[in-house]
Amino acid sequence: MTPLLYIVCGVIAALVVLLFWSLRQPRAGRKKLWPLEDPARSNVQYFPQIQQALTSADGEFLRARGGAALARVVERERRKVARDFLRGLHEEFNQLLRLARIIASLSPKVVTLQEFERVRLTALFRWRLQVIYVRLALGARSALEVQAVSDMISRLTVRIESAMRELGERASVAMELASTLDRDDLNVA
Amino acid sequence: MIPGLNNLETAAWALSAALRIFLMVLLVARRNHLRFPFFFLYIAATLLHGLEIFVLYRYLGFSSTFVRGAAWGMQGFVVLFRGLAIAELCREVFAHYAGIRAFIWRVLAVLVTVVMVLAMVASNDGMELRILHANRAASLALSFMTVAILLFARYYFVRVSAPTRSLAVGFFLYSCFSALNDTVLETLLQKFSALWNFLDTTSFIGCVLIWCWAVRSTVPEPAAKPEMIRADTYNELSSEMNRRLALINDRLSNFSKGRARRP
Repeated sequence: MTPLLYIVCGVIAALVVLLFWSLRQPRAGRKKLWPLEDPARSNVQYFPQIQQALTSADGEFLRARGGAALARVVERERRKVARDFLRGLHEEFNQLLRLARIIASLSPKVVTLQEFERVRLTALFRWRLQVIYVRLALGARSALEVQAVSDMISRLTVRIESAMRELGERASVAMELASTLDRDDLNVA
Repeated sequence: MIPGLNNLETAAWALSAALRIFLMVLLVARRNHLRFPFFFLYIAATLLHGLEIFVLYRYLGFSSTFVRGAAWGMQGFVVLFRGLAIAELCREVFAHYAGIRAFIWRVLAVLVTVVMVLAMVASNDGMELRILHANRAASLALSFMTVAILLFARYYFVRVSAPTRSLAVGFFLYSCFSALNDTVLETLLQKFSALWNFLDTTSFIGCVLIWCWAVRSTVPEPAAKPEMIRADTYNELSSEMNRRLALINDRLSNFSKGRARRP
């Protein structure tokens, strides 16, 4: 066996994994897309409670009144809630990305740089979100940054929704297609 | 019997040729040759290549330089047609999506070039193996191309019909096997050369069977073209989304560096 043979075998193994992944059926439990303007479905509305759960003052109050053991239990539960909240934000973020991809696929012209930029930014977002998960698991109180992320996603949602309203009927075609994604994929072929 | 081949190898060669003829008949009978003309031409080219090798080996033997040159020269055409047939799959999958299709063409062109160059650079320097290297580089590039088409389809939620998917899987498997086979032939040349043709033929038989299954009935026409949005709609929304994503990432970056701040 030579290094070249190892390299070729490795490349082919990676390609086989990618092939299987690309042929995989979409997840059955994929969440239905909800209208972007529907605030009741957004995770952002729960931010005040999450912020409260992550503030150190609240934790100190609990320790003083209920004892260290109770404070630890509550802290653990609150972190779990914060993680669930971040997962919800991630889901909203993914929903926006799906919409962006549908808009790109329905456009007669696509800007290469913008498409690559989105892929890069998405990869960065996912990586950094994982870092936040780890820091939360290690005990960091990240209320401020969770709020920042939450606000940004919220504003992005509102901005896209208002832009689509401004763009009228043509944009609503994309929204309608997006809302049927969980029933079927985009192609009519 | 074909000179230089044992009974098993001859049987595999004959079976491969028979299956390719059957596949071509199937393509014509189901009128799929009109949907996949380059695929049809590719199968025809492989058949012609086999016939050429048979005639050359039978009448001129193995050792002649002319025979080797002619055999590898025709192989170049076969690989070219394989590339065109895979490109045809891309056209088929993204037929209704002009914007992303043009984008994907650009990406595939760069990808294939980069993989070809890297594969050639990674090869040994021996002059006599240069054609083998080129064949391996092309096979690797075509494997990448096939996977990239399927990945793009998934990324943009474009459904790939079952026959097209099976054709792509067949091309992928054969290209991968061809690249692997060429590498093994190069690195273990002495021990492996007797097996090389046989393995190549049997792997190709497997792929032809997959393709026969794929085109066993007429491939349905795409139902309808979806209504497209205006290019400026895309420009506005896409740039806005990217701007916002960049801002979100900046915030997350600050968090990672421990510089929390209020928005």
